[in-house]
This record gives sequence, C-alpha cells and structure tokens, in this order.
Amino acid sequence: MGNQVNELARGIIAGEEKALAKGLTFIENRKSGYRELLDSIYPEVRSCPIWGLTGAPGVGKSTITNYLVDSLANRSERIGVIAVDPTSPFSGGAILGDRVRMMDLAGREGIFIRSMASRGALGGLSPAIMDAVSLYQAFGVDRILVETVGVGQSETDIVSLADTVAVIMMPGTGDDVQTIKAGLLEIGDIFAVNKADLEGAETLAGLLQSMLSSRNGDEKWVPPVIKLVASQGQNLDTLLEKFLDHQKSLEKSGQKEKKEKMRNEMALKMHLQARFQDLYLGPLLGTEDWEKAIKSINRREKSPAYWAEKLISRSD
Amino acid sequence: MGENKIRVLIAKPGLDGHDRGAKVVAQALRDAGMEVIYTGLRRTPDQIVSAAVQEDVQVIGLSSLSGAHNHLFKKVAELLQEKGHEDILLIGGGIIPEKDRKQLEDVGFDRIFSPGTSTEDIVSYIKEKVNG
Repeated sequence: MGNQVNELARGIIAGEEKALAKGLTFIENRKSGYRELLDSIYPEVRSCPIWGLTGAPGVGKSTITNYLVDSLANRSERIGVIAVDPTSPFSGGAILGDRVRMMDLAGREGIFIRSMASRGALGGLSPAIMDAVSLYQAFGVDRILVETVGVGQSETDIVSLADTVAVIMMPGTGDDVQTIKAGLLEIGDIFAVNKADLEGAETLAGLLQSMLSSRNGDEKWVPPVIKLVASQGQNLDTLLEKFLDHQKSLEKSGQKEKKEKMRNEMALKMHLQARFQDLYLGPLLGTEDWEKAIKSINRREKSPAYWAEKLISRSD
Repeated sequence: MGENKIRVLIAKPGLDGHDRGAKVVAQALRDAGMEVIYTGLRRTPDQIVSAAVQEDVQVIGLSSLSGAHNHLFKKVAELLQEKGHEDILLIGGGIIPEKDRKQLEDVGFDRIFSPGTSTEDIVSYIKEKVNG
C-alpha cells in the first residue's frame, strides 16, 4: 500500500500522465492511503490560475471550455480541465458527457481532461474535486479550468474554488425573476449570454447589465456582460480576454492571495465535514440509540432537533 | 472507506452517425450505478485511447454500425496494447458478423455483443469482469 502511494506521488510530481490519471481515481474513491498521497504531493503544489465556468445544462459550457483550452494550448500552456456532471441520486451512476464537445482536444500534448461525477456533493463540488486541483498543481499545469453544472441555487462552491468565475446563460430559459433569484448574479466575475442569435438575448443582456450595476460593493472589477454564439466561435476571443483581464486585476489588487486563502479554508472545511461524518454520524447509523430516536420521532414524542443534540452528547 | 465506482468509456469510432444504441447502453450502465464517459460520434482510435487513459476507466465499450469495425476496433486494441493498457476491459457491439466477432476477440477484445443483447447482460458481464 505505502509503495503504491509513493509510486503514484513520484509519478505525479514527475509529470507522468498515467500516474495523474490513477492518482485522481485514488482520491476520488477515497481509497485508504489517499491522505498520504495528498500529503506527499502537497509540498510540490504550485499555485496557478483557476477559472470556473458554470451555468445550466445545455447553455454551452463545454463548447466554450473547448475554445478556451484550445486557445491557451496554442500559446503552449499546459492546461488541466475538470468537468463535473451530476451523479444520479437514484442509482449513484452518472453520464459524463462533456467530452463530446471537447474531443478534438483528446490526445493533444499538454492538455489533461478529467470528467468527474459530483457524487452527492450538495454544493456541486465534492472535496475530491478540491483535491483533484491539488494533484493537477503538483503534476504541473499552467492553468486549471473547472466546469460545473449550475443547477441554480447551489453552485456557490465554485466561488471558493476558482479565482475567476464565468456564469454562462442563454435566452429563453425562464423569466427575469429566475435570473435574479438563482443567486448567479453574486458569483460571476464575467457574464456570458450564449446563443445570442436567439430571440431574447438582447433583453437578457440588458437585464444583466442593469442588475449588475446595482450589485453592491466597492469592487474595482465591474463584471462585463458578453454576448456569444459559441457554436460559431463568435466573440469567444473577447471572453478569453476578459478572463485574462480579471486575472490581472486580481494580481494587481492583491485579491489573489485572498482567493487562495478562501480556497484553502474551503478545502479544510470539506475535509473536516467528511471526517465528522466518518467519526460521528457513521457509527451512529443503525445503532440501538439510532432506532430509538427514529421511533420517538415517528411517534412525535421528541423532535429530530432534540435527538441530534442528545446523540451527539452521548457519542463522546 | 471509499467505494470503487466502475468507470466506463463509451465511444463510436469512425464515420458512423447512429448513436442511439450507444446511448441506450450508456444509460443502462448509469442506471446500474456506473460512471459513463460518453464521447460522442466520429472519434478516432487515438482520441478514444487517449481519453480512456486520462479518465482512468476500467472498461471501454465501442459501438459500430458502419461496417468498418474490423479496421477501427482492431486499431483501438492495438493502441491499448502499445501503451500498456491491456488491463482495460475492451468490449464492442453493433452490426458485427459472427466471423468478425471471433477475429476481434482474437486481437484483444474481451467480448463482442451481438444485436439483441439485453442491457442486463452487458451490465452483469461488466460487473463480473471488473469486480471479479
């Protein structure tokens, strides 16, 4: 076991693709020894810009990611992509389809793409995805792109993970209130209205503009709204420029360190939550106390809140 | 501690525009709790193998209805061997005549499923082979 971990760590640090691929599986499956793996690569983690793309299914995230990766690789950058798709809550399985739009990138030097299922993480990102970023950074990439499905109200995790977040939208997906309530306005550094050749694009872009101008704060960065037709390559170069601009602005204002701190806090929090679950929740499930609590809740004797408190105090 | 999810790459090599069957299989595998990386139509053997390596899948499933399976399927098997990935379970399906099936199994395919195979059979075959 220890040998396997050492061998993986060595390979990842040496930039071997196969070791990175195996290492990602290792941390994703939370195999015993995954902590040691993370520990041994951690001193070699080199921070690099992390860009996030989020938006509802079908708005064009993968097509846009494909363009960005292609352009950056043409500048001889090494790029790591993490494409997250949801796990089915019913079967635990997933169809990871982001490669359909990125297949021309397959096999190209300096591009590593990994599709990951959300595996039940509520905010869209699991701790394994934070760890995957660390593995990429020890492997040695110049930039990481993370693509997540925004389901509307729960993709705020991407803010803690990425330095720059682009929210991708398209016209015709609901009324104006949807746009406001989804909480997307608060998380984007860049807003892109894709499929801008469809009716309603102008209205959506206008609405975004006016909403964003009232976004509070003393931020120096004013989030741009860009209209795209990604399938025809229209305006994608502008989007790339905005990403680069935002990155410069972060570096100038000293926000970059703040983002890094936020990311580390998030990673630590996620790991702690997972440990708490292992230590406290896991051993309780199905025990006599547990059954007793459920019965009492069923009979309306005591509330779940009461029992949570009671069980926690008993478990130490 | 962790659980070992079965990861499968489903691909259609070559010039073949029909992917309904591949999608049906992909869904069946998802419903059986597997993570399925679906790569879409018209892929080259190089793209398929390179994607399979980065995704670290235990299984590759190829589908072909175009008649070019002998060449394309064989190429995938060769590339996998070349790169030292014989451990990946390699299966195929589509319109593939009996005699070609045997030939493909000789060059490295673990199994070629014939038209009419039930998705349950594919699921249980994969589970048995991967989990032992």
